[in-house]
Amino acid sequence: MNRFSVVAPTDVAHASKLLATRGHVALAGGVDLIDLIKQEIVEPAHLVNLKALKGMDRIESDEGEVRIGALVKLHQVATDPTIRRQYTAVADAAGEAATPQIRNLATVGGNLLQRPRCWYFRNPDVDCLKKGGLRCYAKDGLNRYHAIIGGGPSYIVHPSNLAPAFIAFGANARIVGPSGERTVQLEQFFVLPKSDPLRENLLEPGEILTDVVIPAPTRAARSIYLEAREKQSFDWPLVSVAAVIATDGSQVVREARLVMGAVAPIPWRSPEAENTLIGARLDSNIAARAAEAALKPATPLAQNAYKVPIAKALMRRAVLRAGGIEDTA
Amino acid sequence: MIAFRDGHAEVRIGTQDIGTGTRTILAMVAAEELCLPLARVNAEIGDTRYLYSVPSGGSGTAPSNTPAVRQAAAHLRRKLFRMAAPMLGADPGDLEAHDGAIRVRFEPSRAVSFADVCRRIPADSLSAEGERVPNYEGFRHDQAGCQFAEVEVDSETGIIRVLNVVAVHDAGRIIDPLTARSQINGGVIMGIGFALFEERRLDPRVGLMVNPTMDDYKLPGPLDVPEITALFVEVANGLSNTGVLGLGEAAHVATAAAMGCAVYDAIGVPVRSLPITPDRVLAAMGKV
Repeated sequence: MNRFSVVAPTDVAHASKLLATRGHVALAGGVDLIDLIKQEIVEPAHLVNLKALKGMDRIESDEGEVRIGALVKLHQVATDPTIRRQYTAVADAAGEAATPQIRNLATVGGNLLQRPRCWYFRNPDVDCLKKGGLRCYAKDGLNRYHAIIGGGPSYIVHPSNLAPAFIAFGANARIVGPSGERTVQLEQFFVLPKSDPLRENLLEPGEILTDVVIPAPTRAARSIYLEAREKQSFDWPLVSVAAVIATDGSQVVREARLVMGAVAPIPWRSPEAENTLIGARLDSNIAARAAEAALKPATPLAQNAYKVPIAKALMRRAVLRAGGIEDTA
Repeated sequence: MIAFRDGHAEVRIGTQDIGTGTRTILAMVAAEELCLPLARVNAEIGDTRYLYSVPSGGSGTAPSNTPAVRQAAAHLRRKLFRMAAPMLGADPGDLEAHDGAIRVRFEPSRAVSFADVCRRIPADSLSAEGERVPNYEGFRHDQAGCQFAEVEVDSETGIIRVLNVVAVHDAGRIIDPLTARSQINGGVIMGIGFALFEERRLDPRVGLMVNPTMDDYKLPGPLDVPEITALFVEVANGLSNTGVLGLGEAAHVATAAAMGCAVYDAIGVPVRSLPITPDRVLAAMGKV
């Protein structure tokens, strides 16, 4: 672990200016960052502690939409009454993450911006593609936890629990940087390794993710977040699914947004599955067809084909449960 | 074994307590032999200045150490009897220890307290040594037991949850039911790791273990722990002066086997390698 100094700016503009300078890295909860420093993946000269920034640790409702500051803790998200009621999938995604201890430390911003868990990437002795090396060791190596969709040239999976749930609600990321403020749809925020294997999102140097804004859901929309993991305590999902479904009185699907986590280098929205459902009467058969459609683009590696049936099962269950239909499969 | 002038006794032995309750049971054995309340017996361990003991392994700590402690306590008791004999005007061979006192066996009202005897210890303390002699011949010295597991398999995701484990063991004489149950709990939890999670993953191309961290090397957590029922069947044996058999690993090894059989019973096909991970369950069921 290298030596570093810590600075704690109190306004976002100052923090942004510091972060645009070489050798500066942002610190929020520190859950991932401290690991990354120990693993010699980042070796910052200066940590810019964001925790002194004002107003970024609050959840605020305004005309139905909800604004979640990037410094809000996962535990707050999991237990906030408005989020639990309006955005159940978001609350559950936060509540399923890690351990109670970590959820009291880890922030929303950190959850979205955490680096991948790939065991080659995390190993200080491996110089992999994502660290500027020449090859992805997972591609032909030990890849049981790696991408089944959207991989290449790197095969990481995006580790965020919250991202699929936010995207299922059409959330936006508010970003403040050296050249001002911008708002990006969270769905467009994450970057495939095809375009740049060194990054997972389009945040530029000096830019700070300040808030996530979730629009008000339609009245009939119901949501769910499901994840499958090997261990029930403190484990990363093998697959997660966030589903937002709105049906009319005769259970015809009017709106469907379906996003998978841990299957691709980015949170993976499935328009194929959504289009299968929209306009159809919801039952086990159509949910299973949507699940098949969602996993059609899957091209598993040598050791992770088992994630395909898991993803299909979770997708079918999530669709039915969000739609309030009993699973008869 | 040492008796001090202030009336307390101390076990000193070069063993270690790695969370199994060794320190507790050594004090209990000494307290029983000296007929003292447990609060007046201290156990000092984990120091190479003390007499040699065996390593904590092979479920051998309790059966190896307790007989030596008992013998040392018996020797110390006889030394104390020799000091008490003139105080009671009796022969040392006619004395017995009872409830914190030393008394004449055939006339229990003639008694002197352990503390009063200790006060007459000429120097600072009185000590005695004991050793672990070989097992007495003609007695079985192996543990016996059986375990049962109830598991739930999600046949679509291959994910296994353990609902119940019942462990029935003959570990010889149980010194302390609480720490013995705790040994079963620990063994079962480790067995769940063995059965479902733990695997050292080596990439031969780069010569590295890819999962050397607590993040990637998976161990059971609180939510992975089932209801655990421990039942002890104490079959009398005469192999040592305590009759204690080992316990820790018996509960560990049997758990994985029981869970493997329970998974077989649930999905109808056996999974022949450990850990029984979702990929192996789905492969066994022909779903991958």
